[in-house]
Amino acid sequence: MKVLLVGNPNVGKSAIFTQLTGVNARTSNYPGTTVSYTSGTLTVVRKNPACASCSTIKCKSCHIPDTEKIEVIDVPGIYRLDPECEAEQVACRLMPEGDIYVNVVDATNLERNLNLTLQLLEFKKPVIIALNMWDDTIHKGISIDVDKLSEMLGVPVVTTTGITGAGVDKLIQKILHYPKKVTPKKYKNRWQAIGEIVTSVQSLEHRHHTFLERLQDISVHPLAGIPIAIAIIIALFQVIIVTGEFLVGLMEQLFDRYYTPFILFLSRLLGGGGLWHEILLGDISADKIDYEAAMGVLTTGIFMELGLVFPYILIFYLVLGFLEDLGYLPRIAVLFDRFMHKVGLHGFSIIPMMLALGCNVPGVMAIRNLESRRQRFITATLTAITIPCMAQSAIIFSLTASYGTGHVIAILITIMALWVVLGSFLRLTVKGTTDTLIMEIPPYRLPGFKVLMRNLGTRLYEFLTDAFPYVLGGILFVNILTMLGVMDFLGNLAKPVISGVFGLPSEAVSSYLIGIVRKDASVALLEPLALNGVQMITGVTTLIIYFPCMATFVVLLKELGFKDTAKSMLIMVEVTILTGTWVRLTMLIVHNSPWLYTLVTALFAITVMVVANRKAMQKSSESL
Amino acid sequence: MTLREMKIGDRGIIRIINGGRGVCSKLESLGLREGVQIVKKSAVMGGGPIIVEAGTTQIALGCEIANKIIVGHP
Ligand SMILES: Nc1nc2c(ncn2[C@@H]2O[C@H](COP(=O)(O)OP(=O)(O)O)[C@@H](O)[C@H]2O)c(=O)[nH]1
Ligand SMILES: [Mg+2]
Repeated sequence: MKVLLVGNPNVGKSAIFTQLTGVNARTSNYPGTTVSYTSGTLTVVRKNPACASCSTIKCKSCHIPDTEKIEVIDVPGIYRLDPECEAEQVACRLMPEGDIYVNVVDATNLERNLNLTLQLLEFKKPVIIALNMWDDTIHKGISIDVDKLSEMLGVPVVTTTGITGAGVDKLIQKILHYPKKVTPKKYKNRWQAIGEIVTSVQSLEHRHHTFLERLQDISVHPLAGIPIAIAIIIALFQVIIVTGEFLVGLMEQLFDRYYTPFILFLSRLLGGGGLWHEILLGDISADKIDYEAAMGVLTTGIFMELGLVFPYILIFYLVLGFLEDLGYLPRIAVLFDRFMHKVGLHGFSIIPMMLALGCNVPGVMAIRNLESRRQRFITATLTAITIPCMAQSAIIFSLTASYGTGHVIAILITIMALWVVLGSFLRLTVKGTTDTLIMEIPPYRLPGFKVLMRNLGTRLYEFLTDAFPYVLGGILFVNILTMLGVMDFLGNLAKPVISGVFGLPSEAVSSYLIGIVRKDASVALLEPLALNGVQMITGVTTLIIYFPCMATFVVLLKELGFKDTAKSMLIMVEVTILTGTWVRLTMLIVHNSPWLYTLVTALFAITVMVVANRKAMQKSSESL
Repeated sequence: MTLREMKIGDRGIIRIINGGRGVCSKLESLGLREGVQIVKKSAVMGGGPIIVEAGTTQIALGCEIANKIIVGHP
């Protein structure tokens, strides 16, 4: 038996799914988290009511195997059954497969939700309604006559609270005893029918604004909204960097105390040198280990992921998870809508990009929620080219810190300038339309501690299981290739670009090679090259740009298709070379001052944006 | 008057939506259709989106669309 969880976006389907199956589906407080479906199994113990001892997997007295496995599918949120974007199409294709529809309804938004409900009732499938967010109706002064609602719709209605699991047992019972006979309904005037239902089952009570509602109003205040958002974003990044640094320091101590003795022991075991020593431990001396530069699989490999990257991933996802579950992201999308139009997008595109700051893979996946091909192409291309993931950023922070603030800012501004310039260019050249923003803004909800931790846990687990094999394997691979002399060969091959254009030593080729698989490892490989300031900026920026990691590339292929991915890649190569050249030439002109460089680059980007904006305006007024 | 011209904080009733089928059906699925009462909550500065409240739902609309929605007094 297959149960589909169907409902509007952001009504708590994934929360209910997690409660039913124990499988973690990510929740977040904005429409469009679930872009492809997740499935899980609900195992229920079916008791024989006539038997007193029925509770085990196989009852000994009545011999009925009393567990049943039910497949549950968390369908992407839809407002209606005529699909517009990809995510909605996924949902509609799934519909015929279900045996039972559990329609998750946001009880605080009854009227809008019933639109889908009435459409579901037109199918010849049993429908059960989970009236979710039940806890919220109390704060909001909404009361709903559940029995009456059930009677008017002719289907079972259960009240649930997805975050605590209240009411889920009852929902399971209803699923087990679903109505076998279904007569599809037909509504001539759906909205009129909905109006009648809502007026007879729901009553609203007037009450004062809550604190969260006031906060809601301030966050999108006409004047204060944008400055507040900018302040919050800057503050959060400050928090991430400071906390990240602190945690890295802590990790370093832990490594020195507990891991170094083990490595030194291993070193002696391997005889202090030789092939395996070189590959596994790298360049270490008898008493002190420089984990960042040693380049052994078990030294730099392990330390990089656990010591340098993990702390930043942890704090980043803690912050992002909080913002997501609170419901701040859609507000950022609204506030920066106007700005995103400058690169041919609308506000929603900022959400995939913010996710990409953690990891590009979910970022590119989230483009499915965008309506047009043009929007998807621009968002995906900008994301893959200009947005470094947190793993990469973490290594960049720790690597560039010794070069001084000027260099860190220069890298940051180069990437932001590239975002603006490339975006302006794409806006003028990519054909198609960008829709106007139409988006529901969910109410603020204080995220529960348990939910936050569960979401964080899932993300950290994914990071660790994804990262370790690739990073350790990657370093192993580079070490072996170096020993075999393959690196020298490739270095010579790539010399014209890497040394000629970018001005980097030819050994840097290994960075670009590993970057295809893992971006954090690739930046770390620059460490032993002892680069000067200009080389560092060129190296780091081109490593960010030239290729997204393999995992992102695969998702890109899936989301954009072959042709658009190829186009995107072509742009990527061109942009890499142009950026490398820009850094080198500009630095030459400003006599290697990172501050002057930053100024010139920023001014250039602003000029391009203004000119492109004027061009776009002309174009649109001509076409009118 | 259009939704764009309406004052922030005012209440009104949607009279006409001058949009194509796609836009209208999208608005309708969010609960915005002719005859529905709304409150204008905000309009982000610099020609940004307009935020309206219909029932218990808040919806952001780009200002091109807000120009096409005609509202009347309740
Ligand atoms: N107060 C409250 N919040 C809920 C409830 N169910 C889910 N949420 C929250 O509502 C948001 C949306 O939930 P999610 O499961 O991601 O919705 P989906 O888009 O339908 O899958 C998340 O922030 C959840 O933590 C509930 O019953 N009560
Ligand atoms: Mg979901």
